[in-house]
Amino acid sequence: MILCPNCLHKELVGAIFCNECGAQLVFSEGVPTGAIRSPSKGLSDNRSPEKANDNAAPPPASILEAKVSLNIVNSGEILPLKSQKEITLGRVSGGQTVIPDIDLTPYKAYEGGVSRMHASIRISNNEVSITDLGSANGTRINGRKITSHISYPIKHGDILTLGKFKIQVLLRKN
Amino acid sequence: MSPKSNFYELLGLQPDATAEEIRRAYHDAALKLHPDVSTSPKATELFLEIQEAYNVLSDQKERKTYDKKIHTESDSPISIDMLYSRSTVTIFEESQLVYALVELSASKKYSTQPIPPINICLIIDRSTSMHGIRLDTVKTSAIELVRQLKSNDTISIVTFSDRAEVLLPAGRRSDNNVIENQIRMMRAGGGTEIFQGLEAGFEEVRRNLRQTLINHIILLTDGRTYGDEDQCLALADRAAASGIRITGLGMGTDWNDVFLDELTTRTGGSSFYISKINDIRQFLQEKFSSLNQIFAERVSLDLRSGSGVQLSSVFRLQPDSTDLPVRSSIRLGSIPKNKKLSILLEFYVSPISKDIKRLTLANGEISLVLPFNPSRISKVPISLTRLTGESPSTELPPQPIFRALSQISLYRMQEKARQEVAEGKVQEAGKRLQRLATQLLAIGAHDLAQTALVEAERIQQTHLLSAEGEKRIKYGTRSLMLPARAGEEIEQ
Repeated sequence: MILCPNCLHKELVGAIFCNECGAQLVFSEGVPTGAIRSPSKGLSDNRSPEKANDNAAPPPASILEAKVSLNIVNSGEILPLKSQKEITLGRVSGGQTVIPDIDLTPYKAYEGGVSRMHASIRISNNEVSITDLGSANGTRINGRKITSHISYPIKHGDILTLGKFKIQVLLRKN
Repeated sequence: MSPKSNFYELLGLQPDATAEEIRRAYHDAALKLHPDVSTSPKATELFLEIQEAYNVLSDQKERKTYDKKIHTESDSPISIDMLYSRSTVTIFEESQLVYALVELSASKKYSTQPIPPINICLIIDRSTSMHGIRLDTVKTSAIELVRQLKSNDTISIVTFSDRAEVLLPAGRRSDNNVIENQIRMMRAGGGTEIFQGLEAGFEEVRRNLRQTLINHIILLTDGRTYGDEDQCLALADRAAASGIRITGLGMGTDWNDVFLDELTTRTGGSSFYISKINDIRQFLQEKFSSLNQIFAERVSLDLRSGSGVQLSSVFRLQPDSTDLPVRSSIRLGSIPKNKKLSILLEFYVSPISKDIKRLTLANGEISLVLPFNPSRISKVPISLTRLTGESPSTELPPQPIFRALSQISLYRMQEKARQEVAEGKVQEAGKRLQRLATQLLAIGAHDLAQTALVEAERIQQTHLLSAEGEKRIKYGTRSLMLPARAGEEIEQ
């Protein structure tokens, strides 16, 4: 049996879409392992120290504390997420009433086609998921476009693409 | 060469056999047929043949050339393309689903055949409710069709209310002006007894029935028939047996779509919903031009499921997308000249035991009639199999299957919601329509999503779907199944 990530309905192995809610059940498997830096290794040695010199990059300590971090693929910067339940991603521009929790403007989000309120990441005790907030250019998980307003589970190493803007998900295991 | 001239058949293999399977099949055959073992007089000859077969098939390069050769030399009038949702079925103790997309198209060799003439009957509902704009639009559209007929086409027109009249008998065509005048004379009045009309129309088409023609009935109605449904269905079976296909056209909201589906799919046809009366003209035009583009008629799929396998659903994606009733012989309709006939099959597979290397999903044949050469009864064998594997496959299904299923899942949600309403499960139905609306929004079908939301609301208040809403959603989601939406054209 497979469990629908959206409505938890049970479906037979081999089903592609949930019969209950129509959500997609099959996703491409993670990215090639070579591309993933494991958080402990990647953060403690070669990469983060030099990046930590940048003002934009947060101190390594907070990265280690955070359960979920986002690796901005273009710049290599790592953003730790505060352990709140839901975090919205987007960019801030003038005349905006709702402001996303994480502003991706410094990382060339506009050029990357990120909407002002693009997606939200939800962190629960045992699962991290992403929901596209009806963005203009859509969100992909490992290249698979996801349906907006439906939350999809994400795992360590997944590449999220907001428009053309790539983010890798880093989860700390404990 | 022996009658089994194909190397694969000789070794008892599937065209997509793996190297390992080829090796094994050769081994087994060689053990049996080796001159040292077998005493049969023909054994030596056969042994040499399987030797040759193995030499070709075991060499990747030679096999490729050979595959190409048998493909082009094949005398089959149609080519069959098959695609599966996964490359292997998993050996484990759970049931699973496997999808297969089967596409039939005219072989290149036959793609320049002349267009067969049409033998068509329009059966027009002239009950009281048709009065006014509906009947007027139907009249104008019918007249337009008459003007487009080729000289060797036959048309007949039957009108019905509580009884049927043959407005224009089949047979020798009189002056178009006379026909047009008769069409204009139609007057609305009376009830809706579909059987009356259907029977008269059937007789008209039958008078000119020939396998060299496209024999077709188009039934236009806007009402429900009462009490004669079974008679209608029995007649549909007779029509199908004689090679007459029925297209059903529902206007307005008061007709019975479930019945019209049942009636038409029995003959390989389908039903359609005309929501705006002005669409009739365009619909008839399109239907007419598709009837003028037919390569093969009376296409039917006869399948025997493999052991532990059950064919659970069949959808025709193109032409005229619809769900088809699952039975041992499924009428698929026609193969267009320059498009594919695409169907999607869903197989329910019971747990597989370890010693099965290749699982047979189903075996059978596709039979069809070629109007340009009806004396040649064509039956093409079809075999759907999958290799088995230990580890569950994690691959994504091929794009065409993925796309088809994403639309089919919407259609299925709609069907479920309707069923739930019928069972009084109002809460569930409402929720389901809301989820459907979310999915529809995601693919940009805003109007349809809006309709679904309105209906979801309505259910909570009235515990019913509106006759209009339910048809809109049903036929709306059904038309999404057409692969043509994604710009898929045949490559030839």
